[in-house]
Amino acid sequence: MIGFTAPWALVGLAAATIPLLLHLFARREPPTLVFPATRYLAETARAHHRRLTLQHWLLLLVRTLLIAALAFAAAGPTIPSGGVASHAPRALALILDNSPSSGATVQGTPVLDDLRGAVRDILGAAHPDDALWLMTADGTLRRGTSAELLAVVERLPVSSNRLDLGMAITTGRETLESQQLPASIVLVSDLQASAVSSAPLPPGIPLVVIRPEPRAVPNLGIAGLAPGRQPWGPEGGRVTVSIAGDPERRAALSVRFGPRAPRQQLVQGGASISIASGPLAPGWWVVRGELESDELRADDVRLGAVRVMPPARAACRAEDRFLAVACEVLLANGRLVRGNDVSIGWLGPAASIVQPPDDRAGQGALNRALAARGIPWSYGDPVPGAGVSDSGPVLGRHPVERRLALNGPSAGGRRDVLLTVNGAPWLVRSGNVLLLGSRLDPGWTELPLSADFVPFLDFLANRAVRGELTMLDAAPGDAVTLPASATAVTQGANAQPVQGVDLFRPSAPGVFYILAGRDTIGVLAVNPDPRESALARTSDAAARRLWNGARVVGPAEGREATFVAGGRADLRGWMLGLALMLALADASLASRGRKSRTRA
Amino acid sequence: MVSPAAPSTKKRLDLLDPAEVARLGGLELITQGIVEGFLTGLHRSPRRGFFIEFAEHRMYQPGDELRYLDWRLLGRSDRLYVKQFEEETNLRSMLVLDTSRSMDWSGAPDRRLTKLAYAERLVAALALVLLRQRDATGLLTFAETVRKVVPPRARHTQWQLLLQELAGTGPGEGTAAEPALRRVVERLRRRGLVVFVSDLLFDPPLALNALRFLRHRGHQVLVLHILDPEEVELHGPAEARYEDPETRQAVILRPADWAEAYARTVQRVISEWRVACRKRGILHERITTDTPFGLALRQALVRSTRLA
Repeated sequence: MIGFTAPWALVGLAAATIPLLLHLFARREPPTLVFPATRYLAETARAHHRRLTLQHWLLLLVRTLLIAALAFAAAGPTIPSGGVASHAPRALALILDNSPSSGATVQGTPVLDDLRGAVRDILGAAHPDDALWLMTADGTLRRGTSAELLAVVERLPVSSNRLDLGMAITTGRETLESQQLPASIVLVSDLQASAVSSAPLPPGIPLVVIRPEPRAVPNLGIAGLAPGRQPWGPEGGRVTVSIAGDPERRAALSVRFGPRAPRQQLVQGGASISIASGPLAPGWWVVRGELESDELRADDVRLGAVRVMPPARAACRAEDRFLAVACEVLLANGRLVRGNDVSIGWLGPAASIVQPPDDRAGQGALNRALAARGIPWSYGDPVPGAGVSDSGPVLGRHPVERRLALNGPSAGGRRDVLLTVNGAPWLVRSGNVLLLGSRLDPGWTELPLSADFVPFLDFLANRAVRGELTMLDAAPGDAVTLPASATAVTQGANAQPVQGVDLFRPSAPGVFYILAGRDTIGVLAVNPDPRESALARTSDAAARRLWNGARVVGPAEGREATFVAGGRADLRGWMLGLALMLALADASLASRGRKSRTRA
Repeated sequence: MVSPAAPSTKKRLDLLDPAEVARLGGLELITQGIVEGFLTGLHRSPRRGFFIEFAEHRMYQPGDELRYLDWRLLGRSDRLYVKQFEEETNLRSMLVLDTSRSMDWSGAPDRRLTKLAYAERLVAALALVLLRQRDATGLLTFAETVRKVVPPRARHTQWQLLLQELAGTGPGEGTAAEPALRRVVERLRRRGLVVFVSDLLFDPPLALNALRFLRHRGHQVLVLHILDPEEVELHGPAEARYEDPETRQAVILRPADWAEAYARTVQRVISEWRVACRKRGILHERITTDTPFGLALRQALVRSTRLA
């Protein structure tokens, strides 16, 4: 297939219309010459009109083709050429898609084996002079010899990481752009539709897509495992399990809470079912949903975590009207129990959710009481101007009309901050005391009027004041933002320090506990990306449309396509030769009259 | 009057560029120079050369040139006789000049004479040559009508008369060759020489009939086809509207595209004239206005019986 190294130059093809446009529109009144032998001219015109008209149009055609040939030459046309064995040195970026979907078994063979075979063929045909890179679903681009990369490929397992093919191609392109050798990208993938995304491709770096022969793979997978609002009470709760895949296909689902006996149910693709846990003892519970084995194992298991604890024993004051109403709602739903363990709205003797005093005269006394409790934070002056809470896992964006500055310690204060307004601390935690920068009243913030208010208060009373800040979900390879106070992440007996680390990137599925010192402040459930369950493929035509100029072939043709695509013959010389011939033809046609006249 | 011999001693005026020659002086002066040069170039006496066929002797009279004395007869009879030749006094020549608008044109006015100016000088030179061999020579000019007629005479003043008529003849409008030639038929009762000088830019049939009629009357007919080089080879801007000065017929075309075909047409027309003349026993000579007058005279006269 013909390609162009500078396709923008094809704009010059428009110039090919210039001779015709000149012929049609640039005619002008010619000068009059007195010429006695006009009768001979008239006679000549009568006798030769048809031939000369033909010659004229031929000249027009030749000039049009001449400009077109020059425009094509400027665009740098190329066609595939060369052979596999004798290919010239080149730079190859091999992208092997070993994402979870490549673990699907088709007719007894994992898709990854087919993909691995195609890569093996290519690496086997590579020369020592070739520059080779290998990229897999973990996102790492490895440089090496064909033998080194072959060893990597041979022991490569199915990854838990999703691979965005467009991003992978972009990474490969960026790597190859700095290479002097002719470069090409080879994508070896099952072309899962959910993994395909666009990627700009420069004309100088061809893309070869090697994909297995398309076959329908029926699959059911667990797309989601949602425990709902937490913590659960001792009476337990329900998890909602979402099933992805073929609606006609059925399989048995079992959900296990910790070591307890599994609860089973028959499910089908597209279903969403709710399973009750039954009474649970306080603590952290791992929930494991599992489907019967099918062609894709990676999505048959999904993990989650549930926090079980009694509701907070809290006290609210009637004068804090909106807080009192929210407390009543939580009490009515069993999310709170009346008691004095948590004081909501003022600084109590135990855990407290403190808001600024209604009367500023009481601010000094409050600050002194905080200091007496060893709280390093205090209320400062009112902050002028309205603000908006910064969106985060705790709360979305809500307008804040009035607030007081929260003054904290210069060192380590950042870890205490749970929420900010315009970048400044608005909700901080120190020990078992939470300090709000604004009163939870519509005169200070519109939050009490929103639907988020009751869940927010639930979070404050049942989790934040206890130091349990987050329940996170992620996929392997995702970058997870940890709470600032996190010091380590543990999975089983493995503990990974994360103090001072903003992002945590889990590499495999599992349930990770987030620690702050010795306290567990959250949990991270890592599961395969639910998009991996949809095994529908992108068609070859769609791939070609998306990645302009890509060549899509099967594994058997992969090696030849790779090296043929890498070696393209430059047609500029041919085009310039054609242009030269056309120019000569033009000169010949244009000067025929003059030559004949000279002979005469 | 300045002798034309002066320039001719250094340069042969008959072989110079016609436009350059025309700048040297008036019609009379340069014509004499041309003819002197032309006759010198023949390498023989013009009189001896012009005498075609011996006719009779006559008694010597004072004034006759001694070289025409028959010395052999003097030796035998001790009497002075001079040789007389048959054609010497019999030939009556008529020069017919086309002065139509198309003749008053030059493709390069700054470098070449118009066809009419060239033809006037050529006709004057021819007349001088003919008069010098004592041929009665006349002139007829025509355009859309017959304009001037000078009857053939062999007087010494005849050439001056012809020059006056030529000098006073400007360009006319159209071309009516056939009536002019009919008039020649009327004027030349005896056998003679008719030299028809024209660019032949008219419809040939009528003129050819008249020329043939002249030939039938026993006249020797010579057609001098005057052409400007620009009429033979088409030049011009990228595109031009060409207009006939007589008929106002116009053609718009690109010279570069049509030059080849035009050149072929001109060659064909000239060839058709030549063939048509040959069929009728008429001599046809093509002369372009960049041809030196001496060469043109040679073309005109060498093939005619007056120089054969």
